[in-house]
Amino acid sequence: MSSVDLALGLVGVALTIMIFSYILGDNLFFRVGLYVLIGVAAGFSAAVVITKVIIPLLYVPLRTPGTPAFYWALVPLVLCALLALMLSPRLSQAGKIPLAFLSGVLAALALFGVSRGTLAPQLLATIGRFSPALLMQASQINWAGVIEGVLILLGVIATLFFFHHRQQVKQVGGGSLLDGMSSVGQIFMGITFGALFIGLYMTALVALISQLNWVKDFITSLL
Amino acid sequence: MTVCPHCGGKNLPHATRCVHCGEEMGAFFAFDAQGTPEDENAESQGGSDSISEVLRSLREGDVFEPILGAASESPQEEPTEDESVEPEVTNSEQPSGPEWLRRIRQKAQQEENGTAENRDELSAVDREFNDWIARIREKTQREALNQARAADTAMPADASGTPEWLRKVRALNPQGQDDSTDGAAIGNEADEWEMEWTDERLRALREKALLEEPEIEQTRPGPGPGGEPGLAEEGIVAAAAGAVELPTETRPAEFHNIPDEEEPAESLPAAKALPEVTEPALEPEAEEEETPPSTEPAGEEAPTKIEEETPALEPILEQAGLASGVENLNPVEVTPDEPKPTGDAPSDLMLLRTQKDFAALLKSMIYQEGTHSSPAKATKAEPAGISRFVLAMLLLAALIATLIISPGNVVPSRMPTEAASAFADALGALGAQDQVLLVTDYQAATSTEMELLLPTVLKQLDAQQVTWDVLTTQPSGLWLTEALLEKVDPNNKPSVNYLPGGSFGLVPLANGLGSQTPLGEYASALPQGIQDLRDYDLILLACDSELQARTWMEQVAPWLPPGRIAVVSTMQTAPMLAPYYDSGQIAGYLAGLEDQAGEGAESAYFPARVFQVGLLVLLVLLLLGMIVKADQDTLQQIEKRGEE
Repeated sequence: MSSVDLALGLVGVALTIMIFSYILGDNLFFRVGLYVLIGVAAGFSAAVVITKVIIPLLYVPLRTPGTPAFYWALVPLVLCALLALMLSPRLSQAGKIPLAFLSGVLAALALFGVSRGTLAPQLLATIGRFSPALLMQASQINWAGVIEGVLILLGVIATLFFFHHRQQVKQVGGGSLLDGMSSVGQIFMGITFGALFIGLYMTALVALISQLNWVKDFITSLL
Repeated sequence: MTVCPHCGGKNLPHATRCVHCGEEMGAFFAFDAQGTPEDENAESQGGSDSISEVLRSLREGDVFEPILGAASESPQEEPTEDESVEPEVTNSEQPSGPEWLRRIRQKAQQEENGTAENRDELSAVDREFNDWIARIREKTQREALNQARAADTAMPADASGTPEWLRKVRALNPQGQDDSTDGAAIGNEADEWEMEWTDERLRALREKALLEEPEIEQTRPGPGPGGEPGLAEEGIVAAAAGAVELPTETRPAEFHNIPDEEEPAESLPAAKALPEVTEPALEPEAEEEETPPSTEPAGEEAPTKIEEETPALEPILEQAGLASGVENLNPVEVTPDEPKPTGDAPSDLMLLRTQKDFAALLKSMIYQEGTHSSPAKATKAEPAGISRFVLAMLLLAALIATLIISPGNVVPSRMPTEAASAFADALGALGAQDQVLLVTDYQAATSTEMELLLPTVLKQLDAQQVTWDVLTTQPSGLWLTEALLEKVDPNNKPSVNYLPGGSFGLVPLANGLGSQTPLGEYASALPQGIQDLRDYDLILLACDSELQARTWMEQVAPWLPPGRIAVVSTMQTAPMLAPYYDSGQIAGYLAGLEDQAGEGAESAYFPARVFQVGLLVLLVLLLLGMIVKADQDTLQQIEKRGEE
């Protein structure tokens, strides 16, 4: 093991222990380790943005005046300048122009993406569960496919019903049917969040084990 | 005492110019070597009489007689100690040597004694004068405060028939304030006020001053020494009271309309502490340190009284040559238009409690205007304390023990999932002429889990001679991908390109608009010859976030033919990928360690046994949590029923 690897390994072990010290609560060592990680990540990100974005997409085109790229580069330059004007209280209104542009584009992209990428395909897939090609196999009813399709449809309707009619159930008092649908939707929601939680825990557990394994290997190599 | 050779007038020993005729006192230095017997006799007689004459003139009212007339009575003249002691000192010295030398020495000794005595006596006079001035100021302030206090509580009618001016004069006596209701005390105080400036009192005063204050402070006025009222002040004030008639019809103190709560903070304490602190000689130093009486009034009412009484005393002091001492007193500023005090605040300034509260709130808001307000602190959950520590240590101990005992790479042997099988099918359908884009979009924290699967997939692509490019959307993906490529060691190592902009950059990359802009030729995330993502046969997305996966599904997948995207992800993203797989938007996906076996990832080392132990601990903790929560809910229900 070279000296550089040894030094980096010691730093890594120290940072790992500092982060693990959160078991004892929020303390100085945990915060120092956290700040080091965040600072290094932020600095590295800034360096990447400068070398990969600003220089090739803004600085280089602006060095070739008269070309189409030059005029294209003026647009982000002006937007950035307007955004920088928000530092001045008197000129902060000008900074709303690029923010409005970004908000509008982002909203349009989100609406487009949700409708075409999630909502429509998922609804079509739910409906497709009841296509005869899936429900019939060899001229017989595929009961497994039917039950699966019914459960998926029930889950979609109950979940949508839970979110849409939750306030109405609270205000009106709710009937038995509304309460039942809301409870079914709540069950589906619970199953979904449980699956997400288990997946999150397993991912975190893998990360923890890998780090412990690395520390064990490092200590073993020292011995 | 030096006699002027021109007019014969007497001057102080150190005078260089005659105060009577203005001529030069040429013989001032003559005694050093050429003193005449006449001068020496005159000096020896006058030097001892100088201070006594000054004091006698003060006692007899020579200075103040033109001003005060016959109001003050001349005290009995008594010889002072200076006169009796001085001859003894001169006679006790019997120097040896010639006659002329003895005379010179005697003369020098006499001059030294005379100068020291003059300095002490003059300093005592000055101190008495300063004390007198300070007492006048203190009393004016005290009277003003007393008037203000007396205005609040209606002054009872004097049943004993004491004149108004006498009661006012008695009110000037600070010692009598606490005993103002005692008739005997009032009588004694009246006698004490009328006490004359006797030689006995003056001598005692002088002795105490010399003993208590060896260092002379002429610039700082102080009260009379010895804990007694300044006699000089009392004598002069008594004379002035008789001659000028101190203003008995003093105007009541003027009040402002501000409620008492709005009083300045320093005025009320001073007003309350003044009767105690301004006992004439008991605790004079403390008050002077806190509130210098000569320059600063103790309260707002004090200047009013000073302004009222200063003109009455000013002619007297000017004629006595003492006006300079009262120059610091505030000039007269009588504002007749100001409202007379009524003791009650105007009705338009009366505030209700709620109005006061609103005013205080508004004041605080104005005070906080423009200041940085700290964000509202989120209510921290109560620390679990020792229980959290025990559980965490239990988990760590179980993992470390398993890691040490059973570190082997145990790959679970189970059937791959449907999505993993679809992923393998999509990967196996690629040939040598196909192009694949690997998009790395994960963080360093999940790199271990991602790198359990990605090396196997990339090696398979390399084995199938599929051309593949690498693109990353995270800044940290640059070095993470480099580390991944080192593990894979492909035949043709591709370069890693960076795609900035997040979801903004995905859309032009998917529909090809990005490459059509003039800026596309300067920095393209795709290699040359590739216009957009549709040119790839498969996009291998490696992401650890369900949000980022959904962004790809929403922003990129609609622009691509179905089944062009395959995902390698972590286990936490798997539940969100399942609906997209069911809808046919992605060709398949691999999710973490669970799908490692399906890809034959024996080459990727991971202590799966430790992972199983961790899951077991998780299950135990979940069960314990459920039991504890159920127990708490049951107890709460029982308590609610008990309350109902």
